[in-house]
Parts: sequence; structure tokens; C-alpha cells
Amino acid sequence: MSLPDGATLRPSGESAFVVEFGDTIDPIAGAKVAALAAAFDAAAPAGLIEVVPTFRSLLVIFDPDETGRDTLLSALDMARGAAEPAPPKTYQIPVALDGDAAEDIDAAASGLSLSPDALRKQFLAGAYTVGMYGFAPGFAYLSGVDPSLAIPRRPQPRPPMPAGSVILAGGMAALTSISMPTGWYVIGKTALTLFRPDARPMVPFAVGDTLHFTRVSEADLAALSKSADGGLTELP
Amino acid sequence: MTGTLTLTRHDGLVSVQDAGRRGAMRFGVSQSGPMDHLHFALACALSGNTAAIEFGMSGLSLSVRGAVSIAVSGPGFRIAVPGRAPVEAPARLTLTDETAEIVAGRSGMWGYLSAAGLSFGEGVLGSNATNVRTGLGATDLTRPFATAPPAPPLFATGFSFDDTPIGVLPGPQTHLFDAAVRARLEEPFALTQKLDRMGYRLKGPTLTAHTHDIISDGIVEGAIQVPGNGEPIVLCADRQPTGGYPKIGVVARADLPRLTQLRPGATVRFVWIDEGEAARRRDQARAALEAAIAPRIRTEFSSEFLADRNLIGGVVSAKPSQSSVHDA
Repeated sequence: MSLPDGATLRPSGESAFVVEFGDTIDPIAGAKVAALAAAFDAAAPAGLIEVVPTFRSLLVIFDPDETGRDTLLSALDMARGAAEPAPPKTYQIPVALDGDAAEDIDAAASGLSLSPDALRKQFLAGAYTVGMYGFAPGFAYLSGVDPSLAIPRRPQPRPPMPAGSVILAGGMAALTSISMPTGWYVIGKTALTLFRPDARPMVPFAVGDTLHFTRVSEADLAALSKSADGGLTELP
Repeated sequence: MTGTLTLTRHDGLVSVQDAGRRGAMRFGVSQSGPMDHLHFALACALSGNTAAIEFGMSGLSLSVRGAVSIAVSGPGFRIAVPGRAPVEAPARLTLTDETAEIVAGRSGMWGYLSAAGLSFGEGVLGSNATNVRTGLGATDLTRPFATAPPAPPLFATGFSFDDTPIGVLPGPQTHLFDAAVRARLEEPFALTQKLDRMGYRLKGPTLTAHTHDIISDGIVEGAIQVPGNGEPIVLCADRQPTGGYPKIGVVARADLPRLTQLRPGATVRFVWIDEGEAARRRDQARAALEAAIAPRIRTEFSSEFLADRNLIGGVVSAKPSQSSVHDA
């Protein structure tokens, strides 16, 4: 049994363990997590229930009456090399950054000592990586936010924002999939549907994919929201 | 003769539960499933179904058209049918064009109502489990539910939960808490009013970690997360799949029902255990479930009773763990 380079094994009760790659958000760690998740998917050892990849760790959940940590890691050794994660894709997403679509953009800009337009420009210049899903079905956490946009979370949550919003806080961005109160800042809105339980895959992006945003008017976004894919385009 | 079952009174704690959703935590989907997997399994064993309606302390009311055998479990709960003597859960009894009220006793938080043939439709990701926060699963609990033909009554023994400390195993951030802080987890905690299917907030010694803000990672059922105020939260079935607070430990699977069945204000004590002890407690829970289904009023060993006993194997894995002697 051998762990990938730079990995630390952590316990998580009697029916799970965590393979951790450092304690920061780091694209190299993210790639290692994706590779390990793909290896578990391919090996599919008996008793494995599911794996949960995040920015820098993989949670491995199993049936303790059927298997154990060492058995699962050995199964991985035997399957090594057989599984390569699918190469990441790059997408362009239309986003509205004005008016009701961007309710908190003035507050966020003021918190960052930027003008709202400077915030928009900096946000649109970024390339974002889907780091993980969590919190709610299809709720995607994005890394790659420029340090100049790293605003702390609000002290108090704001009222619910719509699904499909782009939110910003804690040095991260996220695409929201349900309407809920949030401690993040709502800076834009997309026409994406982020979770379709009957579709395969259920979510439009894989962890590791790169996202670019392109600005559209609120009226154009309303038109896009009638399309199936919300104007999502895969870039070469 | 078959019948239909309709819930005539139900509050926000009432939900449909089954084995829950597995395999989609990586897309942000909560696991769901019962708050007390042992009482859930007992209700399912009594009904022969794999799903049940979970209810909270305020119970629920139901009405039956035709004949329906209802199976009810849950610590302290009883079934009140007008014109009949109240029946303590766990029990299976047949109602014919009657109403029933399920009422909590002096203890117990969660109970289960099941019936043979009770069906909740297609489900989402292989499960009908209601997730209120995300809207997945069965949400219409007001329609009449069709059921299968009734079965003979059965008054089962049930569980007698003891109050030995709740076992806790190390979690992914145990190392972020000093040994002295980890030891404080074994001091008494009280359940606060802030509890639901997502988690139970506890009050007691403050548990301070080296940092309370980690890069989010996956959360298993029973994980004890500690936000910046140092007050632990035990995360339950409807927890979000990932989170950014350190997790000091994870409640042993076999012990989680004893914790979730406590009411606000109750004292809870934890004890650190290892994987071997957790396996022993799982074996014990399996044996307790097998004993729980035995009739408490034994008039005869009917073929139905024997058939019911065989159902246990389908509900809870009967396989012994490797580290223990299984005495079936």
C-alpha cells in the first residue's frame, strides 16, 4: 500500500478516511485529488461507497463490515496507471454584472476599496478552476480569484439570492444552485442550471475544469435563461 | 382487502426516509436517510418495506380507508386509536376505516411509520428521502398512499437504549486540537434547542482548535464539527456534504441513534473509542435489532412472526465484523 506523493492519511470515523494534499487551495493538490478520485472510480473495490473530492483532499467512504482502509488502498495500487482523470475542459459563461443581477457589487467594491467597474473588469479578467462541489447540489466552488478581490465573508448573512448567482467571499467565488441566504457577496448572475439529477453527468462541469466569464446585459441574460444550456460554450 | 393511508396532521419534522442517496455527495447532494437507523430498521422489519415516514416529537395523525397495517417504532411513542386502548411502539396493528394519532412519550425525538406496499414514487438519485433544504425527494405528504394487504398484529420488544457514553472516533482534524482539548470532549455536554436533521448543537466545555477555518473537506454522518465559538455541532443525515470547520471526531455509527434520540437540555457524554470498539458496538446493535423485533406479548409463534424475523437480514447487514465473535 502506498500513498501518492505528498499525501497525508487522516481518519474520519469507522467508515471513512481522508487523503489530504496540504492545507491550502493549490491547483497541483487539486489535480492530485482528481487523479486519486478517478483511480478509486476505476478500481471500484468491493465495499467502497463513494468518494468526495474537494480542493485539497479526498474523502473515501466505505462499508466497514465489508472492507477497510488498507484493503481499499491496496486495490488502488493494483489499478494504478489504469485510470487517468479526463483532461480538464475550458468553458465560457455569459454573466450579467449589473442591477438586480449584481445586488451586492457596490458593497463588495466598497469593501475592496475598488470602483464597481474595476471589480467587474478584474472579475472578467480571471480564469477560474472548479475546485469542488459542496453545500448544495451543483453548488460549485471556484478558485483562481485575484487577490485584489479577496473580500472576507459578511458578518451577517444577506437575504436569499437566486440560483445561478455568482458570489464572492473568502478569496473564492462560487456558482449557486439553490436560493438561500448567504454570507457571500452577490456580484453577478448566470443563466446556468447547475444540477440536473436525471442527466449524466448531473453537473455541467467536472472538478478541475476552467471557467471564463463574458459580460452580457440583464436583458440578454433573460433571453439566455430560456435556452437549455444558459449560453454555456466550450472553448477549444 | 387493501386500503389507503393519509397523513392528516404533520409538521416540518415529518419526512419520507429510506436508505438515502449515495454516490452524489461529490456533486453537493446530501446523504439523507433516517436520524435513527435502528428504529428505522425496526419499523421496516415490521412492515416489510424499505422506506418509512419519519416524524419528530409532535408525532403525526393519520386516517385509513379500508384496511391498512401500520408499523410504528420510536422510543416512548404510542399509537392512539379512538375507541381502543393505546398501543406502545414498536408495534404493527391493522386499522380499518379508522384514524390514529402517534404521540410522543417522556423521552425520544424521532419515530417511524411504515406499511407494507407504501410507495413514494420514482425518487431522485435512487431515493425518496425528503431533503427540505434542497427540495429533493418526496415533498407531497398529503396525498393518500396506497398500501398492500394487512398482516396480523405484532407487539415487538423494541430497544432499551442504555446511557453509556457515546463512542467517538478520531476525525480528519483531530490533530488540530491539543490533547487537553480532546480530553475535554469526555466532559458532559448539553443538547441545545438548535437541532434538526442537519445537526445538533451542543453546549459544554469550549473546544478551541489551532484554527477554526480550514479549506472545506467532506463530512461524514456523525462528524463533530467545531466552529469558531468552540461549541461543537454533531452533523446528521441532512448535513451539507462538505464544510470548512475542523472536525474533532466522529460519533460511532452504532451510538448515533442514542444521541439523536435525546431531547434539548439532555446531557450527553462522549468517550474516545477505536475502530475495534466501534465494530464491537455495531455487532451489539445488530444483535439488539434482532432482539427488538421479538414479540413482547408472545401468544403463539405464527408463521408471520417467523417471516418477520427473517426480514431483519434484508434491512441490516447480518455479516459479523472481522474483529468480533458473532453469536447468531
